[in-house]
Amino acid sequence: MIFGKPIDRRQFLKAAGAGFASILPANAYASFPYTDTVFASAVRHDDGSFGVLLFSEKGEALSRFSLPDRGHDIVFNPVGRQGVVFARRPGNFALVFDPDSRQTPDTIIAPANRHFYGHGAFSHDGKLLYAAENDFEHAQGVIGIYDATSNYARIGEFSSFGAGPHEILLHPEKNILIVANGGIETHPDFGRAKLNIATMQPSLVFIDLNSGGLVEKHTLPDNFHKLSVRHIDVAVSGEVIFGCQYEGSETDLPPLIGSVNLGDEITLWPTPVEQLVTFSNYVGSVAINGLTEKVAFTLPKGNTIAVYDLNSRKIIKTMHQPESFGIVPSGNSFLRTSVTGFVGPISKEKKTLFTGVAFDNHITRRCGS
Amino acid sequence: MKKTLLTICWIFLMLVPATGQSTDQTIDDVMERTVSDFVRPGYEAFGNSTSEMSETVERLCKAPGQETLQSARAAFTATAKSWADIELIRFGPISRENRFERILFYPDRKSTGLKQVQRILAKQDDSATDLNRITGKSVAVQGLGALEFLLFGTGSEMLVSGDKFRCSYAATVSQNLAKIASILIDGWQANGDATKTWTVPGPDNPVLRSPKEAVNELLGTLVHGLESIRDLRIGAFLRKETSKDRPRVAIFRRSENTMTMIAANIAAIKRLLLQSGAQSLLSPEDGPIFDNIIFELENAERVANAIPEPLGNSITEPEHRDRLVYLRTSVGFAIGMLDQDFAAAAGLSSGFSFSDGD
Repeated sequence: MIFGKPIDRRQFLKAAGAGFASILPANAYASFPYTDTVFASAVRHDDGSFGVLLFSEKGEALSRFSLPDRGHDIVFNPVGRQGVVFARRPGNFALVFDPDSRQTPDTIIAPANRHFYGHGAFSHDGKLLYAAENDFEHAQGVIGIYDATSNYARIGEFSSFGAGPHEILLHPEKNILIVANGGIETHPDFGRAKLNIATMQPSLVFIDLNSGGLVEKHTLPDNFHKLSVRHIDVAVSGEVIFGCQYEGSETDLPPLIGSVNLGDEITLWPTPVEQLVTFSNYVGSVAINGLTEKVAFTLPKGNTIAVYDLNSRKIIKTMHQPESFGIVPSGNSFLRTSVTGFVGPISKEKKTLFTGVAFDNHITRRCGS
Repeated sequence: MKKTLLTICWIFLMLVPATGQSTDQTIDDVMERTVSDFVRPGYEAFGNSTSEMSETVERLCKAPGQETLQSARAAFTATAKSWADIELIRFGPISRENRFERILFYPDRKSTGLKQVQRILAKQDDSATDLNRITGKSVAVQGLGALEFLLFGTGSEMLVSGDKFRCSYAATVSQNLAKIASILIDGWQANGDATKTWTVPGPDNPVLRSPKEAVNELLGTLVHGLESIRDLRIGAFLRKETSKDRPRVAIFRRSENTMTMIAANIAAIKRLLLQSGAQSLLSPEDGPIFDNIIFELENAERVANAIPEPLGNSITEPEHRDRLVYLRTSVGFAIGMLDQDFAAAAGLSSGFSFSDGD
């Protein structure tokens, strides 16, 4: 399949169904339902095919299934068992799977005039699924609404109040959706090309899920308008931490990390230049560890992981971790994945290698199976 | 004896490849040649063509006529071609102050630039005829796209009899392009920061902190250059279904330079590979990987040159449309070979562009 080409439902089932439950060792699968914590990540295989890999905290492979094209992020229903993996931009499929079942996944195909951006979020009650989408003919971001209680029928949409919505998350306490609008206009007719770099306007917005109305929209100062706000995590306090990808000159070293809370000003966190150099102007993913009140960022182009203190907003340490991509809190630290197939704690050498696998940007954890 | 052994060990360590089969010195040489043999001459040629164009349009404005208009149009074609020869370079001074978009804003999906240029013409907006003020206007009205419309688009025939404002606007755009070219040439001087940044990778370098990152940058330039040809140049007008083809949005279709641009873009990829000495990043036994990529690019360039202008006619003829489909496939093959085979042989992750997560 040519990357990014829209697929229809029949094509999808042919491609994905055959690969689903192409499980690793039977004993691994048998132990899966008893595993407390399950991690999931989109992957690319050495033969160029794509899929999803589910694994335990110890780095044991639990199951895997195929995708017809490259996936990006995965979300789990907070009250159910299902997970949803979204196609990477400009893909138009999402796949609904039950990690405890060998059944063929269900598919969601974006409407003909929309595509996914690789990220989504469930409502607090798990009944609705929100998806970051592109209304590409009008160069507007939208949030598609899918009914999780009715085969994920698309029941509506609202504006993301910016171009290029990327990661979206629910506010921990309020019925508010937090959206990182990267600000970059794309159109599937032109592959992944960025069409408005000179005039891009990223933003971070809070949207009232009861009405679809804008609660707050935060933009960066004009001199940082090429800082594409892409990845976010939210603390229990409601503070949103974000990581950016810079579209300006490579020799500029703008701050890439910042935070905002409802009612507050958006803030870019100061980072010493000697450390910004190792960031290579590209944040791959963000994860907050609530236990330790630390936040970690993968910087895959700089082969670095950076850890900040959530309260002081100061950088605590950076680690040289080649091509690290995904990151997720684990115990008192973080678990990371890499393009080269490694899974393991960020600060330790001990790690598991999945041969023939390249992990995508994000790891998602499902607790308490 | 001990000293001799230490010396041998030291020599051995110096020869251990930093990435793939290449030594740090090999990579430094490749980056040096990239700048000295490709980037610098490319911008100098672009500078020469923009200066020539600027003078030619000036002559047209002073002495309107068929002959001077033809000269200006020919100068435009030469300038467009010289830009296609170097436009795959997206690092260095071109990445500052929107210079890339100011030289050529494409694709213009909503015809924003065209509408803005038409508005300037209708209102006789004198800020578009002032070199200092045009820089601050929309990127879409100050580069090659605007100039093509002024010299070849609707109303351009009036330049023969003397359309003072239109010609003055075209002259200002030409000067603007020459000015940007001059900045790019200055920015790439042998002892300048850009040259140092892109030719001396190392821990003190703010961009290329290791030889491996330098190879990554070079390969990324080649792959993204090819992706632009496939997705922006060909993909813009060639649709899956014939009925949905859109030749009217093809790059420089008014001046009938669409295929000239595509062929020049492909040739530039090949030239960068050859002139940088990128083959030296591979071991001798991986030589066929390099040869296959060159073969594929030559094939694609030949096919591009075999499709006649105007594109709007050619695309309706099955023989030429099939060639365009084949061309897109061929460019895709070249992307795969660079992204997978070359990257792996050069010691990078196989499918290295995967690391652009999103």
